[in-house]
Amino acid sequence: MRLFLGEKVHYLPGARRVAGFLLFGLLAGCGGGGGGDSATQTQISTNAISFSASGPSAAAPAAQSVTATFGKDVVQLSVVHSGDAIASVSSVMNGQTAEITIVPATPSAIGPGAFVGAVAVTGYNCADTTCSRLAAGSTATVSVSYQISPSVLSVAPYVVTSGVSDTVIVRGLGLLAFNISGVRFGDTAATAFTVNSNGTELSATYPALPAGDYTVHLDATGHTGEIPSSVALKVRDPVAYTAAALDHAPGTTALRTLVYDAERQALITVTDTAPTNPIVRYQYANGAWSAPTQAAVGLLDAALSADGSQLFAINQTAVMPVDPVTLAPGTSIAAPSLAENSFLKNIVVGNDNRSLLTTSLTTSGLTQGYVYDPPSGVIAPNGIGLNNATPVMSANGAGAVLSQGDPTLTSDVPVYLYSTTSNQLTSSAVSLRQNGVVPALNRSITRVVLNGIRVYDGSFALLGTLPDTTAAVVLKSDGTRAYAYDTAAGGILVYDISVDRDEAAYTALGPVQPLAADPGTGLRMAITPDNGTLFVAGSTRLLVQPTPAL
Amino acid sequence: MNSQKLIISAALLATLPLAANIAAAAERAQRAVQATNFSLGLVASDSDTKDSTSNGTFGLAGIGTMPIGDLFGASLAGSYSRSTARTSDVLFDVASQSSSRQTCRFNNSDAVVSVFARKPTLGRISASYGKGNVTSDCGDQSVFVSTGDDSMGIDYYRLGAEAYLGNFTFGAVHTSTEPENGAKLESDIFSASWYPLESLKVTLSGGDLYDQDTYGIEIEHQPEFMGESLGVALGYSVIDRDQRIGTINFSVVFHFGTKVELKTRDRQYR
Repeated sequence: MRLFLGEKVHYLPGARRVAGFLLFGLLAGCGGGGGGDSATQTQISTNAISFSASGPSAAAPAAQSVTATFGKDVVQLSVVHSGDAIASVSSVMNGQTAEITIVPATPSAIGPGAFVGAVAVTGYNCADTTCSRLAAGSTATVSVSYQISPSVLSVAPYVVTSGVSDTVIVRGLGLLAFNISGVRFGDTAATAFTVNSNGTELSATYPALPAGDYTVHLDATGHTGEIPSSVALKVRDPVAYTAAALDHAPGTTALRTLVYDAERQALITVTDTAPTNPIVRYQYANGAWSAPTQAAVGLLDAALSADGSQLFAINQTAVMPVDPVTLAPGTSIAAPSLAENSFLKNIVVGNDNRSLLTTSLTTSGLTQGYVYDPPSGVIAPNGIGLNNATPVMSANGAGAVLSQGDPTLTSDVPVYLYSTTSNQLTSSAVSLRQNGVVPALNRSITRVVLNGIRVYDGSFALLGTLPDTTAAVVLKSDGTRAYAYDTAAGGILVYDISVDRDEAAYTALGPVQPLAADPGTGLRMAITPDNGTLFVAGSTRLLVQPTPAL
Repeated sequence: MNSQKLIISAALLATLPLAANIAAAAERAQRAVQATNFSLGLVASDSDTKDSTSNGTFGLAGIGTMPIGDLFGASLAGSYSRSTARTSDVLFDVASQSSSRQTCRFNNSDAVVSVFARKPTLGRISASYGKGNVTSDCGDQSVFVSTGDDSMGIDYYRLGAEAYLGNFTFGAVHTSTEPENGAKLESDIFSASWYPLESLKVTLSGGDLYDQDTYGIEIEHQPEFMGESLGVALGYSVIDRDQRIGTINFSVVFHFGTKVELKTRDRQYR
């Protein structure tokens, strides 16, 4: 038998064997019961702490401190941590205690969600007589929980009609960080909702609601407390506007913009009026339109922000906020790297409150547009060159359709789509050369009319055509009707575009609805959210016309 | 317990003159260190603290020993080791987007000089002075209590006595360790070694390490196939307290030039 390679086994004398056991017993007798345990212990004032932040853009919660107490034999104290909840940990020694400060991660760094972390405080002792090795004493662990609530950013459209059920888009951040179990408008639950795949928006269907302001609430399982929200859906009773004609200021040669402010029952225009293009506001109150107020700030276009709290307007080179009531301009932000001889042309605002800007040349040519992000104040080129593109945003702010080109072109150019979700432009399968009639689309982009003639569905399949005498067109919010100003008929014609005409011409429903006066040329149309009133504006005047009941 | 240790110490030391008288006549020709010799080895250990972190250590150690006349000898030893704490034992595994679990490392280096008097037939008494430094790197907060930063110097003094009785060696070592700016640490370790073979040693040890009872067992062997130049040792020790610390040690040492059996090496070369 061999114990080790090459080793012989020797018999042990019995006396030595006995001596060995005695020695072992002697050494074992040295044990005194393991005294001094407290000298190596590390204890901590609490084993769990929690942080919470109201949203990903909120400031980081204040750091919290715990006190570690350790025994006299501890020679080294280590504090280590793990988990996204914790940004850093620091400690300050004072005798046999250490004040350990735990700094949570910045909400913007990790986004919404329920995060965890751990801090382990270990006191190390000398593991041999010369302290050449260290061995861990006890470890005290602090578990850290950190809730960063999702944020509710906006609802679009933010003004809807009382007594009618419909769908809105609620934008937010981190909508997938928690399991959204319900959406409420005030105390009224949405009848249906779906969250998009990247957690930035949800589509919610509200029931018929009485007029009022309803805070949009999200309910989520796993979220402690109410998810903060200050976003309100404003439900308004339909307004029975009577037909009216509102003249522009003297010297007006063209209309550039027509905006209906449904929250405040006001009309806003931007016109070419010497000496500088003014922004003009008409307020409706007590059954009549007031005299217009205006600010001569030399604008080219304007659009309401996603929550209607301000207008974003453009001049040739910059974007500026404008107060939607007083029309007082704010600080302008210049668009960077504008191509030579190009200028800003149009602006539309998505439900994320970001603006899509198009640019133009005095001649035919490609120039890239921009995306303006109000919180950061950044205007960034979007990298897509378009030819004098004209955008129109849907009422729910989910996307825009851009037609481009001009009559000098010898071939058609693609129509583009802008997605608010991605802030990206993509070309559609449709190509044309835009004319003077701006595109029209309904609230959820299930119907699109291009060049005032071609009627498409949401996939850009051609359904039918309108007369080529259409000078302006607007669609009912559900996409079932097109209201067109027809120069040949001299008034409003109504078309049922809910049906697919297999690319054939649509036939007007009923007789033409004449207007109170001639709006002039270069027309723009708008419609109230309740679909009850049409606004037709041109170079001469602005007309208010109850929608034909067809 | 202290009274027990005193009794044991006294008993062990009392055996020295007795054994000296018995064996002196027969072994007068032997020197304290037969020849200058060097050894270099790799050391590894794994230490586990119940309900806390465990850590693994790997290092390099070397020693040179030389005679000073017939009765005395001196040695100079140095070592470097690195320990890595397994923080996964105490930091639960959390799915992490941007952070990772922090680790904890300790680096130790030290050097010790010893002088001793030895009669190979009787035993040995020694005195040592050592100086070391240990540094830590644990996440973003890791400090030595006595220095307030991530480094700590160590001075230590050691007195030891061994008695050789046939195939047994009994020893006692007192160590006084002074961490930088820290309180002095005193410890006593008693050991008994048995050579069942000339190249195999079994050592039992016990003592108090800063008021905590410690026990250990180690088996050291010099395989014949390496010409007695290679020694391997495997040991297990326990610090006995509520959170018991168990440590497994393993070392491989190469002895340059001296091809002698382990028992001879221990009593005439080390």
